[in-house]
Parts: sequence; structure tokens; C-alpha cells
Amino acid sequence: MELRYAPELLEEAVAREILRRETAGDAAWSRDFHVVTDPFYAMQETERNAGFRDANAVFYRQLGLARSLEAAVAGYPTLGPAVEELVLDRCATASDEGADLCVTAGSKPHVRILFRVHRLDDPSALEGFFRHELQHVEDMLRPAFEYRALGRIAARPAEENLVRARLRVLWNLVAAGAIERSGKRGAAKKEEWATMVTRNYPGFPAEARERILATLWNSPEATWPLLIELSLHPKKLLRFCGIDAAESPCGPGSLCPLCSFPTFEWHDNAAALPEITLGMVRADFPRWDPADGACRQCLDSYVFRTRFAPSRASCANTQVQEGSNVH
Amino acid sequence: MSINRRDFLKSAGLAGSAAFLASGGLNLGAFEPFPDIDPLAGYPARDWEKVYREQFRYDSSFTWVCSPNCTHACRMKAFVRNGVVLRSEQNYDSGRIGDVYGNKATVNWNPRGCSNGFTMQRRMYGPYRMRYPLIRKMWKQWADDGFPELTPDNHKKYKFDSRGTDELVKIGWDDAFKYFARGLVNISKRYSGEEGKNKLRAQGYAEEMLLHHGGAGTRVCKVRGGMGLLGVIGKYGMYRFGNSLALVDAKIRGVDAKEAKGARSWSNYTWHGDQAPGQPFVHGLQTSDTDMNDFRFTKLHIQLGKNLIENKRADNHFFVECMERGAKIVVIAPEYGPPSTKADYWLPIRPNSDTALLLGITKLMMDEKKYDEAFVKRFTDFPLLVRQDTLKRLQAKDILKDYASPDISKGASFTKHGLTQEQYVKLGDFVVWDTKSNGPKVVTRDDVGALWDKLGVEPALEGTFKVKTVDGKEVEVRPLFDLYKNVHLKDYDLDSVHEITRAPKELIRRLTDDIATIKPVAIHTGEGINHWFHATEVNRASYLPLMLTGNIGLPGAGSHTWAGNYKAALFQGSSWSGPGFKGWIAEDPFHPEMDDKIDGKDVHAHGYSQDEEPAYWNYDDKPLVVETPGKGRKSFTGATHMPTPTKFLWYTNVNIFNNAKWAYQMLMRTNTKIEMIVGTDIEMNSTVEYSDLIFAANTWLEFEDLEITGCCSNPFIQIWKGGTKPVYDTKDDTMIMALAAKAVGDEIGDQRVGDLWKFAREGRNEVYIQRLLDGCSTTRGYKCSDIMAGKYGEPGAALFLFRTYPRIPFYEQIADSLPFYTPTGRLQSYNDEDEVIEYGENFIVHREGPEATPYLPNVIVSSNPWVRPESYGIPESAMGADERQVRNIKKPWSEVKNSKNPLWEAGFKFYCITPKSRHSTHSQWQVTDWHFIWNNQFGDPYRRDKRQPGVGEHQMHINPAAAKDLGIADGDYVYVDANPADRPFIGWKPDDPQYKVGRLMLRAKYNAAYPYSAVMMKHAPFIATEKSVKAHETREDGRAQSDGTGYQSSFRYGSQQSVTRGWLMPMHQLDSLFHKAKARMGFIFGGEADNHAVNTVPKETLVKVTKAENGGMNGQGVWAPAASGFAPGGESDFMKKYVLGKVTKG
Repeated sequence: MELRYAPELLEEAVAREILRRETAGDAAWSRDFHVVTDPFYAMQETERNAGFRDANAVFYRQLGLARSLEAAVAGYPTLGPAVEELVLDRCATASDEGADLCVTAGSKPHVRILFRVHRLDDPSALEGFFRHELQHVEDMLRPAFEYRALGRIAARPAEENLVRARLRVLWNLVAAGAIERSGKRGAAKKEEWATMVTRNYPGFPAEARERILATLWNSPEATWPLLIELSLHPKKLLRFCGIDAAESPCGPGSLCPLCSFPTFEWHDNAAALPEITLGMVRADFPRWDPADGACRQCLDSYVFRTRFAPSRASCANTQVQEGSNVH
Repeated sequence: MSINRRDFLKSAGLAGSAAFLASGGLNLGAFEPFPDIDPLAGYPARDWEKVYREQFRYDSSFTWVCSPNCTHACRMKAFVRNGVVLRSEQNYDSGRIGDVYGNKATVNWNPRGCSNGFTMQRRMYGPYRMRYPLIRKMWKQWADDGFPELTPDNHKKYKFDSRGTDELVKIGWDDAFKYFARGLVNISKRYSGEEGKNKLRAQGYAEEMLLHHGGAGTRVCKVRGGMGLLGVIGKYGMYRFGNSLALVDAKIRGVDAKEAKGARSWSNYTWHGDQAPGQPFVHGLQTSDTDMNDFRFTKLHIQLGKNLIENKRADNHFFVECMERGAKIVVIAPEYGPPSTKADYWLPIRPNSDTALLLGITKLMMDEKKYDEAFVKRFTDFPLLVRQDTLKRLQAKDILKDYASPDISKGASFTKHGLTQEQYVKLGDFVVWDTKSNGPKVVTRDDVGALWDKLGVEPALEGTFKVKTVDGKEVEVRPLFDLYKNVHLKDYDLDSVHEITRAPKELIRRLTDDIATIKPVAIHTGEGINHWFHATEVNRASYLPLMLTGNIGLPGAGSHTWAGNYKAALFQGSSWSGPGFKGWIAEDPFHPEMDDKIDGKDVHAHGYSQDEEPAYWNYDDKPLVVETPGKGRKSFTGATHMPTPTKFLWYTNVNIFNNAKWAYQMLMRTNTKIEMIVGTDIEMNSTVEYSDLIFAANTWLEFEDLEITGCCSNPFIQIWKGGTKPVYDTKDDTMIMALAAKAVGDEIGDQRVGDLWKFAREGRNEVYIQRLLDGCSTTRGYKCSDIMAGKYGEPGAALFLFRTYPRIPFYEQIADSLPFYTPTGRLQSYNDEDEVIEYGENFIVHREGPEATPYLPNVIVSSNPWVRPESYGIPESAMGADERQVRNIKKPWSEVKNSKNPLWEAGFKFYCITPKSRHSTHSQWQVTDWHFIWNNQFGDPYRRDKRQPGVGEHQMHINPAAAKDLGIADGDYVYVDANPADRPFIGWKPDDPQYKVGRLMLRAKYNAAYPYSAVMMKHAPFIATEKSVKAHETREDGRAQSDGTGYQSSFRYGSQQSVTRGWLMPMHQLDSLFHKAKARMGFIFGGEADNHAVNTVPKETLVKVTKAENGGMNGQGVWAPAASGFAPGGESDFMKKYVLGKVTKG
């Protein structure tokens, strides 16, 4: 596996580090850099750019900026033979950070890791970040993980965002657990991952969230399809974590099984509805069971159809039928 | 000695310093003068400044009139460079504009124009612009297949049940008109004659709906010129077209002109819910509105559910100037809104309870004798006697055998107002109790003001009397004043009113005293009031304090409503001027006038079409017919209001489906029964997306021929044409109608259909405008050419010829002692029409709404034995929508307050207030880029949160405490649901894809100005459609912009109209209400569109709010500004200190 660095990353990282050292009182690197690069300004543009690129690459290594990645990569010997190249590049925002796997026919996969350059200020934390991303890459390349490119997995954009965010946190827990068991530093501490669980499952009781953290942390065998399934279905996640899902089938923000809208207001006792109402629901949704729950609006619609219907005597007999849309 | 300026400054400075030092002052040695240099010498190149200055350079300019339904119609000035309109600004022309007598408008009208006009070019050139005609693919196929019968299979095949998923494809103009004509004629034929009627019966339409069908298939054709006054030629012209369909009927059925029938003409003003429906009950006029500069005379300015700041952008400065001119300002509203910030006091009130407040004030005034007794006797019905047995006013003929009315044919009723003898006989004469003779005394409707004084009668205002009727009965009678004071208002004591309204008692008391002691008093109501089911009662009640204090017909006084540019009456017909506005919309199509020089007075008008209120279409195309337990089948829709089935619809300049209450019921259910929907519009909107054929129209800036408009709120006649060529393949509204009419004429082989538009086709709208000016009492004497030449100060502008400037409603009634336009000729506090007595509203009463109430729906709050409502045997437990609307149950407040609305009990505990926005006019400008960003707290041109439907999105305001109780954070997405029994549409099922489109989801915004139980969404944003939802869910960027049409929704899902529904108020559907005709000097009984007809009432809605998604970026966490510490409901310690004014106190 070849390690490559994007020229823009090298330029920004080297300039930043030299400036940092100069500001701290060490001007030697700045002088050296200028000694090497000032002559480039007399060159033609093509040569000049090449000169800077090479100089930045040398200084990047000499300044010790490559150590974090190299140390992290050393912990994943299986990646070497499996990956064609690993490209490191910079990005502007936290949401853009991460590893991408690029698979092309007839070639070994290429990996690209994006990170914000300021992370270089803390090499140890950066090493943990790289390690976390490489753990994901290793998962993706491990056949048993059953990784496949992720298309659209939810019905609506909001749901897609929600599910993807949950998938991200669940997979992160699996990866972070594996890194911790190897005795090395990862991208974040366990408490920080707990916060992520809380943020993505705010409606679950604290014990349930703790159980999710603990279970996924210790589930190296978790596969990609399983993680998707758990992200899509909070109830299955709870079951996977050993929580009786029947007791809390409907997490806040989960999808109502009838209308598929994410809902925070579940009917508190669907089973207690009058049989006539349940019959109406079942007529439309034969496989639905009150234990599956439903949002209040859906079940209210069946209750209210009766409650707010005109009494028989008040229906004008030649009026157009309600909801008729054919002649 | 010569001295240059610099030397002078030096010496002056030194002298000054010396003088100051000598006086023991400061040492100013530091203030040395600058060296002697020329700062302008050698200044660097300044060419860059040209870039800045050049951006305002223009090649030419022209004026145009911004004429949406905002009630202002401001003339704007557009600036053009390289053929492109770069910007528009206010024209500052008002002070120049005059009339034929030399009167000039005050310069204080300037400046007129707002952000709508400033950004109109962004709509004209914008991405949502209609560029050419469109036709629905499967509708075209239906036409190409020969319009086969719409069997259930064909219905599905041609996508009449799913228009929203069909494609709109480009079509050339010639073909478009051919398809139009073929479709219209085919439908008219299909539903003609007995066979046509039977088809309608077979489709399930109520028999009552065939009342006005008369065998004419053209009667299932509906036309609507969107707020016709906004363009009398191009918009109201739609009714001219509808009237001409009598020629089509004549051809199809082979009948002559006597039998032929035109289309049904849909209303605008009432349909928008903009009319104050109770006003005709009080004074007989459609609406009372002054010119807005009349505000300056007001000394007590009361806004009752009105927001003049946000809704009257161009002219709201007249309200603000009330402060400068020393008027006291009072705002009565549930929320502390923009006008409240200008008020001397804000009187908070429970939504939908204003009538009780006004009755409470009236009671205090009567009890404490705070009224103008002379005015009460001279101009109001308070002295008139009412019979205890029938609840009718005592009539002269009741007590005088063989009574013959006096001859009043020389009086104002006949000579000025156009009363007919037949109408007079029907109305009769009335009776007061004369204390001088201690007996009854007859009064006619002409006996008001000075004429009343001449009678020499001293009427009793209080007392119980006995009269013997001609049939020998002894009947108790009482003056209305007495009945109000000593009977009816007993239910509205201060404590009860406080409980009903939640308004502070001390403020009710203060307002009472202010009304009684300050004059003139003006009450301004509007959509805030008119959009409730029982607005009729609030409107009526708003007059009571003014009737008691004589605040009518004076500068700065009255009760006005200010909503919608409805005033066709500006183009008033009269016996001396000609047919007025009717000469344009109803010129006899059988004899079209081809002489371009004819005086408009001589145009022969004949109405073949008939008004219809679209509220019936908006009620699933049904009238209000109920099978009652007690009285059997009963129609609450009067015959004068009765609709016909809707099979063809052509609208122009209105986003009618978008703005329809219960919009998804219309789109998913009702409209599936319409066979041809035709639109004329300038932009792609949701109505266009659900139409079959669309004509692309020119904007106001592109008009190729003249157009004319006027306003309910100012005195300006405005005539204009555009100044820039049409950008796309579009046409003027008038030309579209002219060419469509010609195509129809060609289709049926009758040239007269097209001839009716001859001068429009020739590009000579001036001929029709001149006829209009000739034929109206308000414009006769003007020449269109003079106006365009600037004879009256500004090219295109002149003043309407009003009796007063500012125009003051009822000035003549008071100053000249003319009767009001009511049966009694007086301002009426009481209505004794049969239906009104039956509905228990003969006295002005507070009623809870049929939906928006915590109490028994629709209950009448009264124990008055003179209120005897009919319940029709419908039990209190019945909760069907029809039943709630028609059931009349009377209870005292002590019982009402312990009753319950089951909907409220089920968690639907928010009143849903839907006012107009300051950033749009109805749905116009809703997604115009800048407005879309400004009109909400979530505007983001970068759409960083990909859930956002566009660069902005719609929002709902909610009290922070209420939101927190529901677990809703500021900025969260929420579902807003109304009664699921019928909304968003009847018969929805949870997994119905159309339900997903129609269920409302939007952002919640904390706003502490709203009370706990009221949420607010602004009115008429662009609704989610099947295509926009599909786009939102499938586009990579998540934007809710439809594929194929480019339609941009303001929502991800649903709309403000997801929670509203159609209502048909029985009080709006009377056949017996006597009142002035809309646009001529004459009277009618019963319905007339925009005058006495069903108003739509979107506020009659209770909603439930539940969290849908987190508000943070892409659904993560809390919406960032909410966590900033500066947002309402999430204030940091610093912000709390700031709000308390303690930041600077350390």
C-alpha cells in the first residue's frame, strides 16, 4: 500500500507547522524553508509548482507530521496487501472528515482519508482518529463484515438523515470497542461515545442507552447488514441489546408502522382501544398488532371517523358520498 | 489684505484658542491645524467608483401598477437597462393626482409601494415563471380520444383521479385554444338538457343543485377572474366570457336569448373570507371602508383582530401617524403583535370571543347611560318595537287595518337608492312607541335624521307595551333598546364577559369609558375577525358601541374591515350614468356593440350568467342540505345561493387550489369530479400543477395593452400598460380571453362570441375602458386618453369622483339624512328575517364556534327568552360537521362553561390563527427568493440543512411554555393535525401516499407573543404537492421543487390548508336578507357573490401539535439559534438580564 499526500494538504500543513514553531520562537524551520523554496520563484510555473510540492513533502516528513498516520497504519498489517494506495487529504468541516473506500475493476481498492489540518496540532489524538478510520476500512475490506455500498436506505430524506446518523454511531461503537480491546487510543473516549448514543437515541431510557453502548462495544462480529437493520429499527436494536422490546416498541422518532412517519407521540395503549376500532385498523392493516404500536394520529383517525361522523339521521341521502372520486 | 481659506482657519483657530486659554479653559495645543496641503491633488484613480455608480444607470423607465390583492394598487417606476428591468421603486405621484373638478390628492399618500413591487421583476424573470401554454398529457389524450364518457376505468386511465402525478407538456397557443374550445363545448353538451341533468343525478349530486341548471350544460361551467378589480378588463373580463356562454347554450339547446344561460361566476372577496359578513346586516352595504388617509381624523383608533402594520404595508403609515396626531390606540387581539407595540393598551382576548366583549361594552354603556340619545333615535333601530309573539318587528300593517303605506316615491329610498315599489311593499313600515301620544307611531324607512325630526315623535327607548293587532290579538311589544338593555344583555355582565373572553376586567371598563368619551372612534376589523364561523356576529356587534355614540358617517369614525380589494362598487352603475361595471362584464353577447365610439351609458347589459360562491365547491361540491331528526330534510343553502355541480373551471390570476381551505380534500377528492380545469397565470403554482390546460400570462410590467384598476382603500383610478416586452411566449389576460372566445365561436359557428372581444383582439382595450368610465357614476366625465396623457397630474392616474376626500362611508346618511340600505333605513341591531330568528341570531349573540372552542360546539350563549333557536332535533352529542353547523342550542354562560368539546378533550387544544403575511399577498411572492428567505426564521440561501424545502420554509409560531410542555424545542419540525375524521381529507388512510403529501409538517418557532393555546401560521404559502414531495424525497439535495414543472413548495409536507376545512355558515346563506346590490344603485333580497354569500373561515380550526424531528442541522440535536442563549424561551442569563434592562446596571 502506497501512502500519498495531497499537495494542498502538504502545503497547508507545512506552512501551519512552520508558522507555529516560528511563533513559539523557533525560526530555524522558516529560514530553512525559505532557503529551499525562494529559488522556486524564479522558475517557470510548472517547475515552480513541482518544486514546492517536493519541498513540502520533504518538510512534512522532517517536521514529523507523517508519524501519526504511519503509526496508525502499522497497527493494521492486513491493509498493506489489500489496498493499492492510501491518500491523505484535507477538508474544511467536521462532517466531511472520514475514510472513503474506492473500488475500481481490475485494481485493488483505494482509500482516502479526509481530516482537518488543525488536528496535526495534537499528534496523539490524530493517531487515534486515523486508527478509528482505518478500523472502518479494515471492516469494509473484511468479507465477513459483508460491506456493500450504501444506497438510499430510508423512505424520506429526514428519515434517511436519522437512520444514517444512527448507523454511523452504531458502527463507530463497534470500531471503537475493537480499538480499545487492542489497547490503543481511538478517536474518542467511551464517555464521548455515550454522548453520541444519547444524542441519537434521546427517547430511550438511560439504561437502554447504556446497554446499547456496552453491547455494540463488544460486538466485533457485527456485520454491515445487521448494523443497517439495527439503525432502521429501534425495536430490533433493543432486542439485540437484550432489552425486551415489547415493553418499549416505539422509540421517540421511530417510524409508525401504519403511516411510516417518524413519531414522538405514540398511542399509549393501542390494545385498549374498542374492538370495533381495532377491527377497522386491521381491515386496512391485516398484519398489524396492537403490540406493534402506532402513532396517536393514526389511531385517532379510526376513533374519530366514528365519533365525528354524522349521525345516521343527519345524512342527506342524495349528497355525494364522502371521499368519492369516481362517477 | 488677501487671505485664503486655510489662512483664515489657522488664524481663527489660534484666536479661538487664545480666547479660551485666557478664560482659563482647556489647553488646546494638541489641536494643531493640518499642514497646508491639497487633499485632492494626486488622488488615486477613482474609476472603481464608476462600478458602484453605474449599477444605478438606466436607459429608460416606465411606470406600472403593482396590483395584487393587497388593497393598495401602487404605481411603481421601473428602470430598464439593455432591455432588462433592473429595479422598481415608488413613483411618488400621489400629490399630483387630481379629478375633473380640480381637487388634488394629498401628498401625504406618498410614498406608495412596498417590497412586493420592488421585487416584481424577480418574479417576471424568475425560475417559476410560466413560459408558454401547457396541457396535461392524459387530458389531451382524453380530448384526442374524443372525450369518451368518464366511466370509472376512463376516469383512472385519463388520470382524473391523480392529476398531480400526470405530466404537463408544452402546447402551442393555437392548439391550446382549440383544445380549450373543444373541451368547453363538449362538457356543455354532455350536461345539457334532461339527459345532462340525469347524468348529474347519477353522479350523486343533490337534487337541490339542479335548481339553477335549467337544462343548460353551460351552468356546470364555472369561471373566476381572480379578484377582478385587480384588473377590470383582464381579470373581471372572465365574467364577460362566462356571460357569453349563453351563446354556447343557445347553440347547443337551440334556445333563444330569453332561455339561454351563461356560466356560473365565482366570487372572490367572500371566497377569500375577506368580507365582514355581518356588515350588510347592520347597514345594508357590502362593506364599510374609508380611504386610508381618513385614519388621521380618528381620535380613538381600535384594531379588533386587525394588524394594519403587517397587512397594509403601502399605507400603514396613516395608522402610525395616529400616534403623532394624538389619537388613543387600542388593540384587541389574542397575541401581542406589531400593532400592539404602538397601542396605548393591548386588550388580550380568547380567540373567537370578540362578540361577547362588544356586548359587554354595550351593556356597560347602556346601563350607565353613556350614549348619544339623539343619534340613537334618529339613525338606529333601537326605538323600533318588536313583537314578543313572533319576534318580528312590529309593522304598521300589524296594527292598522287596511293599512296603506304613505307615498315615499319622491324620497331618497326611491329616487337615490333605487328601491322598487314591490320591495317597499315587502318591507313595510315600522312602529315606535310615542311617549307624547302614549301610543304607537308609524315610521317609514325614509324617516331618518332631519326627516325623523320633522315627525315630531318622541319614541320610548324603554318600556313594555301592549298593542292590539288587526287579527284581534293583544301582543306585548318592546323597543329594541329596552330589550337589549333590560333583557338580552343580562347575559353579558362584566364578570361573565371576563370569563368568556379572558380579557382583563379593568381594560374592558377602560375601553368602554374611552368609547363613550372620545370622538371620533373607528374600529378596524379584518381577516382576524372575518375568518371565524361566527364573524357575522362580531361584525354586527362592532357597530353597537358606535351606534350608541354616533360614530358613523363622520371623518375618522366607523367600523371598517380592510381586507381584500373587492370594491367593484367603485365602478358603480346608476340610472343617470349607465350600467357601470356591468356594462363590461355583462354586455349582451347576443348583441355585441361593435361601434367603438358609443357612449358607455348606451351599452346594453344583460346578465345570462349567475353568481356562485366557490365555498360550495370547497364543501366537496355540495350545498348545506341536512336530513334533520326534527324537521326532516332541510336545505340551509338559500335558493339565491344554490350552486350547480362543477364540471368545468377556468380561473385567472388566482392560486385557487393552493388557497382553498381543505386544499387536499379539493385536490384528492373534489376536483376528481371536474372534467376540465383551465388556468391563466404568470407563475408555476400548485393550482397550475393540478390543472388540465394552462395559459401563460404576461405580468403587469409586460402588458401589451391597457388595464385599469381601483382600490377599496384609496381614491386612485389607475390605468397602465407594461413597458417591457414579454420575456417569454406569453399573452395579456385579455388577449387570452379574446382568443379563447374566438375559438369557442369558431367551434360552435357563432361569430358573436369572438366579436364581444373584437377591440381587445385589435389591441384597443381603450375602447372598453372608455365605455367603463362613461357608464359609472364615479368616473363619468373622464376620457381614457386624457388620463393617459397625464391631464390629471400623472399619466394613467386620476381620482374617483367621490362625494368626499377621503371617502367616508355613510357620510350622506348622516349629513343629508338619507336612509341606510337596510329594511328599516336605520342602522340595525336586530334582524328579524325568518331564518335569522330560527338560527337564534335575531339579537346579536355570542356563539362558540362549531369547532374552535373548548365548550359545546356552536352553542348560543344566552338566556334571553326573545331568542328562540331551532335545534332541528339534533342532540348535543351529535358531532358530525353538518350537525354542528346547523344545530342551534341556547344556554346561559353558567351552563356553557361547564360543557365540553370532545375534540378539545381529545388533545386538539390549539386555536390555529392564520393571518396574512407582511412578505406576500395571498400566495403571491411566497417563494420569490428574497421573500422566501425573509418570511421565516429559517431562511438560508445555502440550504445547509438539506431537509429545508427551499431557501426558506414555512413555520408555526407557538408559545414557548406550550411547546416545552409538548417536548418541542425551538426550531423542531412538528406535525400539525386537525380533526383526523376529515383532515387533511375525508377517508384518508395511514399508508395512503396522498396522506403523506397532505399531512402538515413544518418548523415550530417559539414566540412568547402568542397565548398558550394559540398557534399561528401565516396564510397561503405554496403547498406541498405530489410532485414536490416526490422531489423532496428523491432529489439529492432534498429540495421540494417538482420535476417537470419546477414548482417550488414552501413545505416539505402538507400546508397551512391541511388543517382547515370548508364550512357553510347558515347565516351567510339567507334568501331574505334585504341589502344594497353590489355595483349599482338598487336593492336585492338574498345572495349576491362578494356581498351576501358564504365567507370561508379558515380560523375555525383546532389543532394538535406533536414533535416530528429534531430541529438541529439535518435532524441532529437542537436548532442552533435556539441554543444561542438569545432566542425566546431559551434565554441565557445575560439575555434575561438584557430583557430586564439590567445589563448596564452592573
